[in-house]
Amino acid sequence: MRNEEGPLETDVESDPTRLFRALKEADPPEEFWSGFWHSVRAGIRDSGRARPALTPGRALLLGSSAGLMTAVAILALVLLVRPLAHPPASGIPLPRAVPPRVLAVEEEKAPPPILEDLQSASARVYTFHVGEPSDATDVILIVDEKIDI
Amino acid sequence: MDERDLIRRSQAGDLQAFEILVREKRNQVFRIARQILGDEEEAKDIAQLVFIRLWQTLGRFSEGGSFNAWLHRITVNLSIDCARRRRGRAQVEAREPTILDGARAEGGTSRSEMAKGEVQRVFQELAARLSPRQRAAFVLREIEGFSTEEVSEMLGMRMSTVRNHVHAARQTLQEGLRKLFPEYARRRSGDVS
Repeated sequence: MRNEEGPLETDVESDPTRLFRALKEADPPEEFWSGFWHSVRAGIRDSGRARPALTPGRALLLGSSAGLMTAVAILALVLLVRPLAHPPASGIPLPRAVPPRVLAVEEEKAPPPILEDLQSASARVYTFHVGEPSDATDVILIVDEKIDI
Repeated sequence: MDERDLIRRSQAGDLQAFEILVREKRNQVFRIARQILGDEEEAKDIAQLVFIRLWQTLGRFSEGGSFNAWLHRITVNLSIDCARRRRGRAQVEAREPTILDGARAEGGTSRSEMAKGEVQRVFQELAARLSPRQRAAFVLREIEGFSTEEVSEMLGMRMSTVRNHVHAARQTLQEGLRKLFPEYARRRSGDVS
């Protein structure tokens, strides 16, 4: 700051600065500032910043580390999801897997084959499985006392 | 704790240090805003905004720079913006008695303080004829006593432009004094300070 002092008896007409320089001394009394800091602090709070703005260097550092963390998170997510979405390919096509329990239910629900229309309420039908399980043959025996042989 | 420490601690988010900094700088910020705006209440409001803006931007201030230039650039910009918004309103004639006026009147103020009040009134009336930039340049250079280089940094203009503004302002004020306040034009500075 300039610290030069002019002569006290300078003609104001030639330099109005001499007259107005006295205004530098016109400070308000202490009570004028009551509540001032409170308002400034409230303004700081309202402005949504708890801390001063970051320097460009700090902002860059924070930005790059945030970017790095995001990139790592995306990579980890891709590695986790990809094996589920694309199962490993092999040369031999795999048969379609069907749960065995579903087959059993379907067998139970399937109606027995119709051999012939017996036309008799008293007729009984017996089925016998003959032979090895892998090569079994069904023998069907129909018994009805009303049948006239 | 010196100013550098206060700035450094404020940059780190220390509100207590910032409060001390505000206390140390508020009078100067207020004076500059007041001379540019010509209104005490507006100047006080602007001073609040200046310190809020300072807090927000302090992180970008580097230690090598001039803190006063940084601070008063904010002060001048906000004051000029405010002055431009309400340009055309008659400020001096219509203004209400202010706290400063009251304090001077009630406190059994000395003759020199009364004289300062008068000088303030004369300045506000004559400075209304200046452009906001001329007024700011005059206030910073001639009243607050900053160097031309500091003022050029605060106003974001060349030193030659600052000199031109100050010169033009001085001529306007001088002419106004002669025409409107001849009693002041004939006075000597020793009479008022």
